Amino acid sequence: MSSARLERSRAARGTAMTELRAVTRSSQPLRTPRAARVVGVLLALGAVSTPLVAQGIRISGTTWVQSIDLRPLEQDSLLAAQVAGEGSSRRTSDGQLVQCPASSAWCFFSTSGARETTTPLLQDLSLAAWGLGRGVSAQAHLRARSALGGTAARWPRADDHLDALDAFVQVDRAAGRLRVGRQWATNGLGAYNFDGGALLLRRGAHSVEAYGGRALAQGLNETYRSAEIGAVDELPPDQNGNLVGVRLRLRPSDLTALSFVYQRVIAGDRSGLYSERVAADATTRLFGVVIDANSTFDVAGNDVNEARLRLSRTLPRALQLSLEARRHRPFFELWTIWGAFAPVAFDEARAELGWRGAAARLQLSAHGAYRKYEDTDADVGFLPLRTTGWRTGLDASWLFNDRLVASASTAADIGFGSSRSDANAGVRWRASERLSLGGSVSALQSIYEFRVGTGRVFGATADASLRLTPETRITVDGGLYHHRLTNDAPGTNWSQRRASVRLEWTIGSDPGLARGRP
Amino acid sequence: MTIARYSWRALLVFAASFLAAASALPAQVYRRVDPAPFPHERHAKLFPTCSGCHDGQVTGDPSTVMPPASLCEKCHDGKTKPRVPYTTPTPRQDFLRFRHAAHASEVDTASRQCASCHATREGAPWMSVRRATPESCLGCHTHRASAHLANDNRCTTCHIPLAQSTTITAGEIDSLPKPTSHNDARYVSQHGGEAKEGVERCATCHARESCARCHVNASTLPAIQAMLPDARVKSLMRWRVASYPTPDDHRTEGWESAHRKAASGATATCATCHAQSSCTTCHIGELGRDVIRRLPDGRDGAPGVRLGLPPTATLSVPFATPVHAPTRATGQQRDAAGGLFMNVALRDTTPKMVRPHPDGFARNHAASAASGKLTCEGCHTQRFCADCHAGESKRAFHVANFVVRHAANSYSRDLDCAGCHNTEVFCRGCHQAQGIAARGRSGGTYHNGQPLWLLQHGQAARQGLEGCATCHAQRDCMKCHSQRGWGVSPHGDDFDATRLGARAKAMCARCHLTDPTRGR
Repeated sequence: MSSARLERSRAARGTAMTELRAVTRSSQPLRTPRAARVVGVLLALGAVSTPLVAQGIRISGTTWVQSIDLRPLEQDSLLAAQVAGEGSSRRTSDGQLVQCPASSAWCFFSTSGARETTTPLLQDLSLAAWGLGRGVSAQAHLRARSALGGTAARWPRADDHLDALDAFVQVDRAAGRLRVGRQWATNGLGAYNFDGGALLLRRGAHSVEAYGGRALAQGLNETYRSAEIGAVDELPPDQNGNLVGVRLRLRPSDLTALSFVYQRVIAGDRSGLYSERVAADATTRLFGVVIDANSTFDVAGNDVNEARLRLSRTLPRALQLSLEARRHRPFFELWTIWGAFAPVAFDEARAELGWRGAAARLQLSAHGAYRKYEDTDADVGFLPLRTTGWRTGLDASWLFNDRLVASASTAADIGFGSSRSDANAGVRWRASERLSLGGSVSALQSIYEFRVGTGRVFGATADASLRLTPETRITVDGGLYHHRLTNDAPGTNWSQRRASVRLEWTIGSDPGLARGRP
Repeated sequence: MTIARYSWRALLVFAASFLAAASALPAQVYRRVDPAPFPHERHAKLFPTCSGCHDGQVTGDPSTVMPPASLCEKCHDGKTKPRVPYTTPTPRQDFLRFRHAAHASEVDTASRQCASCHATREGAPWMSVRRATPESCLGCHTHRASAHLANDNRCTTCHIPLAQSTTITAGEIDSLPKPTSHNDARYVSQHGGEAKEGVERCATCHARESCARCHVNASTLPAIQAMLPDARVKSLMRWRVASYPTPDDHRTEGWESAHRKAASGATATCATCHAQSSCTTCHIGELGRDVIRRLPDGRDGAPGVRLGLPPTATLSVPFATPVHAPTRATGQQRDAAGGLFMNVALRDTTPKMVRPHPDGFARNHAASAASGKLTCEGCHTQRFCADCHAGESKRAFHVANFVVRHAANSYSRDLDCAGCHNTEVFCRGCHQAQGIAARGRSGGTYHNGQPLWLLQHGQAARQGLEGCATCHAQRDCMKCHSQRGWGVSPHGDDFDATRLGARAKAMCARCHLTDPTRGR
């Protein structure tokens, strides 16, 4: 791309962003892509007409209303002259840590603002229709978001009113499967969804799959040019992406399976790539040892992002031992600049030991891990940060009887940027086949991102789940969390009150073999 | 002595022998329910023949099989002899195929006497009698089994099918002696072949309901259908526990995920204990559907072999609450050979806990799922993956209020957050909404624990860049790290500009005023 073209591109992008920010997000039209909407309409029509020709249709929904009461963080300031001391970092008379830039007459600090409540609503709808022909079925998973009250902006994506997470039609036969529509590509690289097609060919237990279409950003389910990215970053991608990939699965034996994936996301104008990745996964069993290995490789950055080798074996006396070696380096897509900032990897060794008592009534497990970061070449000798970290944890679960189960855990995670130790305990009582009650308490101490003035959080939750009919269940839960600041310093207050009501329901035909699992 | 002369006496001895022998036999079924046995020996000098009292045994006339009370009263009239309580015994139950009338001619032609079967011992005094034992039959009949309850015996020679007996009671059925073969701990898992070859033998003591107690596919097995139903057995089986030997392969590690071949190849064997509901506890998708359809239908499934999913951690919110509870441990026991049995009451609907995936699978499933070792789509719809990987609608993965404690997880990367969450939008969007993210400010106040943060942030960024990106937008860093800013290079020593530039030149152009790869 020439320099002039780049400039034009940047100028256009800047203009677009200005216009974008001028429009309130809630006033933007529904961002469901046309293709997804078309498939959705087709599925809706299918839902009406399907009983005439198909064996069945099944619709399930989840309605979830939450209420979160918290104090968001706000920036505040006071005159530098009112703060004793010198330098950029000072404390006020009440202990508040403030930053006083030399070039400013003001000192700045972060503090918790007034208490606010937000009430997000999330509605999921899943549709499945089958029996449309031999091996022909259709599926859709739609999601709507809104806010019933309070400060909607406090909840992420509360104004992103409608999404189609998937909506596809497929023909599945013994020889292969063809799937068209919005769908997920789930493989060693994670879960990506896209609008397009996928053809899977099977030969015995082996298979090869090729897929491609318009890419959606991973973990976002929106196109690369969607307003969601633009709302949080002034330099969003200026092109949508097209995803292509191929996956090979081999099954040399019942105990061994291998998978290789090559996948790239190409910018819409083909000027470059957003990602180019490879994944290899394998699992087998040798001498009673289960061996799991997986790795992902960033072709563009020539870096191994994830490499993990895990060995598990059952030992005498109902013990289970797992050992794991792992290397992790974060992956960033190429529409951001982060990948060029030379993030370093860490190597980690982890061990887990589990034990189950008779009939698994009592279960105990412990794990510990130690990690070490690569040299960053960016450290300052007299201001060292940790280059190691460790984590450990204990878990216990006890089935008192068929209806009562209790569990407890404690964990510590010590690292360079944030550390935490916590303890949790909970109990669940299945009062009947329909009613389940639970409660838990927790306490944690956390040190946030290079901050002082953090503290301990004590929480308690209670919940109840009632199955109204075999296909309908309602669940309510609530929790109180009290944040006690440490260091005698005012600061952020993460005390919260949370409550939610959730309704899950299913209507339509039983697929024939299952009551299904909630 | 001819049968005509002694027939009544012999028959009396024969009948009385049943009473006398009752206590010596192992099973209640042989015991008569009459109030008091007739003291044959005390009357030895009175009755010269058996048929005098038991003529019906020879003639086949049921009215004269047992003597009437009036016969006793001829002597026991209260004057000559004291009165005695006596009622005519009930007719002998018809569980035996044996008929005295049919044997009468043999007794005659072989010059055998009633005492051949009913004498208490060889050479016993007259009218020292007992009930005939099965061994009496075995002594003559051609197959000559080694013992009454031995495995080489043909039950049908002497017995009619249990269901055809009109006189045997449920209590007597419950007390039938058990063949020695049944005492073998492995018999329950090996009786199939024997049952197929000689279901008539089984029918001697069993009815269809006996098999249906455990065999959930009883209605489809010819051997079981060849047996007659019986209400008495049904009433007994109602409260009888089912006994399921746990096959050896079921106890191998990873059986839950490795039973495909066995299930496909020997589905009929599975159907002995399992109904479709056993499978559909986990298989809620397409995987194995053709095999599962060959199993018995029915929502309740096999009594005692119902399967359920284990309870989930209680620390999470309740949406993953299992419908079922774990099975009772008391139902399991080991036999002498080390085999594991599960005895479960028929009406015990408590499911046995199965673990389709090992502990920690939610964290460690990447290799198994991606490699294809597990056919995830066989049991799960894509919605199941999306519940976590597009995780807004289900809080099942993280503990309650994870948001308060997630900072350490974000830095330590125990899990790859980006596998489910878009770092740019999900994390930064929330951080901006909560006022945590910088949003264009410089000289921020957030990292207030590090007075010289500017000097330290390089190391922190390279060790935890994903964490930085959850708050900071690209322009925050470009203020210094670009040619549009202070020109501080963020690249490391091994940075390959050519390789990266060949794939994403637009990325270079964000910071560089000229193409940095030109001339390389």
